Amino acid sequence: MTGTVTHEQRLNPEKWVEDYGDLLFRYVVSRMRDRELAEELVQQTFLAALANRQQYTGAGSEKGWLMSILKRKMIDHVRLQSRTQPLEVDEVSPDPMDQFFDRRGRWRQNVRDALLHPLDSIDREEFWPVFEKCMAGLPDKQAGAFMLREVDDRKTEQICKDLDVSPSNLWVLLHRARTRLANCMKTRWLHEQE
Amino acid sequence: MNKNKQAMGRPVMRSCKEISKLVSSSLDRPLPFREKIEVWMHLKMCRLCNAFGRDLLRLRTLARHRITEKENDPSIQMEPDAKIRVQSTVNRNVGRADS
Repeated sequence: MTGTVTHEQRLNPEKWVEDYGDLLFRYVVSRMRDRELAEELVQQTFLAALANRQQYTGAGSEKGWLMSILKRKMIDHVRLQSRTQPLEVDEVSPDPMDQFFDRRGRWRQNVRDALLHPLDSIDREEFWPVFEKCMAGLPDKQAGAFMLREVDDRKTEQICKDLDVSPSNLWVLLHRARTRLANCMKTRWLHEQE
Repeated sequence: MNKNKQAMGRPVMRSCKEISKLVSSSLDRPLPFREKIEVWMHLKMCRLCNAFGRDLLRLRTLARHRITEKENDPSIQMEPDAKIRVQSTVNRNVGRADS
């Protein structure tokens, strides 16, 4: 059996930071915007990879394997972070959608202007500062659900497991995140035009 | 048709608030036939809900494109001292993992 290189021997931990550090870092920062958290998750990823190096089957690339560990770490973070947050769905708290609709379920007057301005025209430079501010205004669970569904295109069944929520709760989370984001972005962007 | 709906105890026409929920969920799964028809009929008459639906699709595209751009932006990097710190932590643990 001499001369056979095991899959895990193909890994190069000494070069991980240099080869993949920024790549993993960027993945987290683009979604969570928190640089310290991103550094933390990158380190956790490398340590988890080391602890489980014998599980590397060589089926995918070293990069792909590390990325999959990072993605799981990020999802775990979102789930744990938002665990203590109530879902806003109990009858006691007011429905956050009340800010958009009147008692008869019609769009409120102050929301109509924003609605009728198309989101299309928001350009590249304007997008980021506005998007970041608006995302920061969402409860963690809504922000997480939005990212996983809209950006990563994960299936709803998968996101339910990721975040430990029921399908009906997920639809509420997504609906609230989407409605708030769309309205927030247009409102901020329109104000900045003035 | 209206009589049937009233007999079932359901409102004849859904509100924008209810329609907006269906529009949102249609981004994640196909709507059941009856709901699909109700949404379609409402959207024929309501430019606000139409605008809302377009916004959601646009938001999805924008978020996806911009985040992907950021993922690939070479100017976004870990701080040099953070890199040193993380690599030495990795190096310390490489030895431990070999057993």
